[in-house]
Amino acid sequence: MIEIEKFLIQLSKILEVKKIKNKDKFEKLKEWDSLAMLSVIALVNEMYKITISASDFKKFKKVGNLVSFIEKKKKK
Amino acid sequence: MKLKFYNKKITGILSILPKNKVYFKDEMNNYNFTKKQSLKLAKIMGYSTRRVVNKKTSVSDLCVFGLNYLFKNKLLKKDKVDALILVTQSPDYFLPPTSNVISGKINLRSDVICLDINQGCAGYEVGLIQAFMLLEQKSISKVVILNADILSKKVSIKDRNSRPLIGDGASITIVEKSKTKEEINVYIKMDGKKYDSLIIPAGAFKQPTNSNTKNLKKDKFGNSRSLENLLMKGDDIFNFIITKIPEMLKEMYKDLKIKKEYFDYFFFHQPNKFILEKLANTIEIPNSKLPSNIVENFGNGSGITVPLNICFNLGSKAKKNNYKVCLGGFGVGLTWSIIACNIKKLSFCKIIEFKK
Repeated sequence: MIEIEKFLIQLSKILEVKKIKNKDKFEKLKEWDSLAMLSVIALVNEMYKITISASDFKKFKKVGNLVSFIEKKKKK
Repeated sequence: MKLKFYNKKITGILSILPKNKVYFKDEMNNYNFTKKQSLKLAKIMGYSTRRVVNKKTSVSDLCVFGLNYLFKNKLLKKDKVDALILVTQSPDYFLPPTSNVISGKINLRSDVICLDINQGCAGYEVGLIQAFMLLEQKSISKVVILNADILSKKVSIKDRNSRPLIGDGASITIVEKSKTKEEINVYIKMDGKKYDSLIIPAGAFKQPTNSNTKNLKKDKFGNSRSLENLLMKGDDIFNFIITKIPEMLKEMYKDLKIKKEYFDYFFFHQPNKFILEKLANTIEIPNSKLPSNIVENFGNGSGITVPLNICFNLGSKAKKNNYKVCLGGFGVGLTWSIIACNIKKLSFCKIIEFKK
């Protein structure tokens, strides 16, 4: 849980928002673009050693989708 | 694939850069990004200045200029060259081989092997492997490797994904037999299933140019390019580098029974600052040992980045000292390779500007 919180803090820094919530939609975030996406892909890799392709990422509409994807992968 | 070579060494490296400088800030209005987004992109990726050739300059022009510089300054003797390897993705012609063209222009004797190799980001390592193999022959004592590319001609002005990082240039590396005991360890792998992660789709024989191949098409990220332009799937390349290179390094450390501290430098290919810094973090190498300053100063010139990296970051220090280095290339193919070797008292290690 603590680790996910750390991840969300880093995520909010990349996306330049004060606090990021699970229900936030990536496409609706002001700073969301291809560069932000690559930065998030890199962050997930750095923290969890999980690789995500851009086409996989497109399936995550909300921040919560990404978080549950990471948690699922971690359990494996 | 693991390869071992003995008693061979690099004895000189020269980099040749075109004089023309292109600045990111002058081109960013072409991209489908706001000014703020573009400046952020430049900061994160390390985009600033890149060197590009003018319309008339070809790969053979850059190589001939560099070779003549070496002959003129008595750094290389023409009649001592036994083989000329050119690694390029932008040959002068489909045929003949551009290495033959260069050999003719500098008037080499006919008792020389000329060889073109189509490789890019790992083109320095592939060229070295070929040179080491040739040097196993009794009759071959000196091999000249030319790395040269002018891919700036193939990137769309509306493609912020590739345009701001691509640079042009050439490098010349001399490889010789060595009397002292030298061991060189090479690791190389290829994944042809991902051949389209970095590709120029049209213009060769599979898909010749026609009236449609020039049409610009917008992708889902807002970049426009035609089938004749270079296409790079940035996320594929990132994921590939960040997983495959650490794996390969681990394998090498284990085989050679060394730790990462063994190396003085990691001279890696230079895709952009972002990838290199993430890679350095993952493999736990300080940035001071893994330079990432080539793209911001000159652009990513494909196979020339490793030799340019050595010339720019070691320069004349390489003439006096011995360095244990890990060379690394990764990209088009997909191809990835690392080489553990020494950079030891080179007879030259510098950058010159191409003038016509």
